[in-house]
Amino acid sequence: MRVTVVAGNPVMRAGLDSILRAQGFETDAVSEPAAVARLFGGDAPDAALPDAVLIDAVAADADAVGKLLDALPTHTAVVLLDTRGEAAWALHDGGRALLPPTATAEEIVTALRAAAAGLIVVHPALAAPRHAAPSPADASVLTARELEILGLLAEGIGNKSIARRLDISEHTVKFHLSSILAKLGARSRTEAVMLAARLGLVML
Amino acid sequence: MTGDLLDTLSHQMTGLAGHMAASVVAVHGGSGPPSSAVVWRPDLVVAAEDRLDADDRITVRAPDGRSLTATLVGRDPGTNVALLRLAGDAGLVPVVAGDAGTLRVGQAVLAIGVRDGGAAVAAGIVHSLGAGWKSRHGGAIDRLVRLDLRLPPALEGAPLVTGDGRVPGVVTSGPRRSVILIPASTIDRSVDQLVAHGRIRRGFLGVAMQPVRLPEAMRAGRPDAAATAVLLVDVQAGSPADAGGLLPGDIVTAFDGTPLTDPRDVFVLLGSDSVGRAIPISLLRGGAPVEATVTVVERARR
Repeated sequence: MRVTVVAGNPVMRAGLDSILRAQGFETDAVSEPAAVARLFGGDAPDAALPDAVLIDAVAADADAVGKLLDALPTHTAVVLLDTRGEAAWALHDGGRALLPPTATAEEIVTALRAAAAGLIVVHPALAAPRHAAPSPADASVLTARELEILGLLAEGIGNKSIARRLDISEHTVKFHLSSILAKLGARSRTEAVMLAARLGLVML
Repeated sequence: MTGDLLDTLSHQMTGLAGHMAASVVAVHGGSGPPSSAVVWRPDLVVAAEDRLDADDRITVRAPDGRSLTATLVGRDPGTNVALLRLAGDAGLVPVVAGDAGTLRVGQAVLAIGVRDGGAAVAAGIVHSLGAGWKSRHGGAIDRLVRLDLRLPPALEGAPLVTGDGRVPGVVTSGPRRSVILIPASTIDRSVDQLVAHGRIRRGFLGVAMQPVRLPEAMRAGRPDAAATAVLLVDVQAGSPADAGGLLPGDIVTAFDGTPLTDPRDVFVLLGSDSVGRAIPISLLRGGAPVEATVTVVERARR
């Protein structure tokens, strides 16, 4: 199976690359999502397209990751290493895996194989819904983009309209949305707006 | 004769189920089992909003098993209405709406939906009736109608049917495991707005808020002696709140005569029915009571 590793941090990139090669995968390694998106967007011969993409999304720009996810054919397995986002994002699409950056080599390889088989994989550390009330510390970590989307959520419009308004893809909107829900401990868009209003993050 | 009574009752119930066959569908949108939805107007289907995770990839099935193409027109979390538009002629028939205002306590009713590829029925009675209320997501529900009826997940969003074959509304689970009716008149208002604008209008004041504890001395006179109110941490320049003379630091204790204990209360009160209204606001400024009026505008499309 051919896997493209996307990781900005060179140590992470080398580490993931060697883990996969040791398990018999054919690999390519790039430093940013845009490099892979270009590969899929162009006239690259099918033989060059990877079966799976392993993305270290921790420090990656969410918009860039979103654009990459848009560009990938649906049968491409995607494994994301991230601290943001929550199970709901992964559950919306098949062939996806969501792992924390602390995942072991074995977990990453297992997730890759499962995602390539069309399964959805969620690490327990990321699957548990947040029960605690949001603390100001969590909410202050909302990015400027997330606050922008929160404001649009308060208008009651759907993901497609949000995507159009901000000139980003619907995939990216969903990605930001699951991050917002996780950070605020909200279970729905409406609850997210209410919780954000209580924290003074959104004007009513 | 008991036998006759059972036969008559069964005959009527199976008749109503058959009558509704062309007006109900199963809807599946994301995680969880499918739920029911009702053909409200030609080519427009009303489904339970909280049962649809995704905006896209919503599948609709007719009771005869046919898969139908549907797109999401919009959502109203306040009334739990999601509106879907069917593509092409699906051969389905809109229900005849009934008036929830004519329901009587103890009246026998049926929830008729779709489950496991066929019709499904739940039977019960009207448990209690009450005045209009605000849902936790800010929707104005015309009447409080509680039903004594067991509602499996597959029948969320199913139409309630009375003996005359009319549909006074849609059933859904309410707070604390209750089963309630969203009246037809409430659904019509949501559907009208969603068809016209694709979304439900929200009211806008132009304030950022946080909950705040009221000092003992300031709690007197509040109906429930509530210990918290709403502190304004920011007032947007040029907004209705600004025009109404509100200032950061103001502690808002009542909105439109309703005591406030949390910013959540403001969210609930800024539903579509608040747009354009001049609303009295009671507040404390430096400990002294002040009355103001704010004209709510529609939360703007930028």
